[in-house]
Amino acid sequence: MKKKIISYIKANKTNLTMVGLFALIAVILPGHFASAFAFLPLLGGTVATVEIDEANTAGETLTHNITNSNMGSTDAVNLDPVAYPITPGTNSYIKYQKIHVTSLGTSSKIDNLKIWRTGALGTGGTHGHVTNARLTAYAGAKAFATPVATAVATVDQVMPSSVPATANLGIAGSLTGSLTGAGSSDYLCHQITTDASATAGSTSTMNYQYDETA
Amino acid sequence: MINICGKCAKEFKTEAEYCDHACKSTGFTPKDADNLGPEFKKVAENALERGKIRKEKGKKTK
Repeated sequence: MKKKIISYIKANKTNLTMVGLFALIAVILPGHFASAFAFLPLLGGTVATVEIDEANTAGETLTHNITNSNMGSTDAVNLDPVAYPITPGTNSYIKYQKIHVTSLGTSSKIDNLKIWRTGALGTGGTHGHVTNARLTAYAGAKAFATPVATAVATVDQVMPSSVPATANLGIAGSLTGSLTGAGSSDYLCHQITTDASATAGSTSTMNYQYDETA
Repeated sequence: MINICGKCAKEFKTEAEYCDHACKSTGFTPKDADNLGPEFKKVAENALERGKIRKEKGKKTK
């Protein structure tokens, strides 16, 4: 699944420059579809239904089936990066997102969750993209906390720029975990970091991959 | 925790209530794969293919 994320960096008080655009792996959906389509890749069965959710605000408001993963200077889902640019030398607000299986259909298992970004970050300084996703020494399920624009413990791994060899996001706190019914992954946390020289933005794509066993 | 449908913006007290609602934006419930649009068909097919390959590899190594 793919979603585009856009973020801008406020280069200075008079000039707004685009900084970073990502695309999470999630499905970009049009606002409305009029007609149904066939969804029967399994013989006589139905596929699992999987969406990307994002949690925000102190009370953990969970928005299901998000449209994008724009990164910026406010804690909001589907934010407008032009209205909320990242000031050079600061971080974006951290994102808490998860892969949510709303129905397993006639499949038996969802597992092997892999998260990565494709596409470069912005130019004009140092840009980083950190996450809690990792291949080894996984810290377990990250508990939700009110999103902040400062560094967060265990969200310190470089976001992979290609598909990981093995799972890097857990289920029930384990990279070898699986979902055998409706449920969600651990929270994927990720955040953009910049230095004072950051001036330009970029567009990239975040990828969320899962394996489905019929 | 408040649950919000990202498509129709309706709020729900529980995740189960969200999953069971008929979304006015998509015309489907979130449990229905059609709720995710036509692009999801390829996503699901690829996921099933990966799962099939891993399952076959697992059988060979046993």
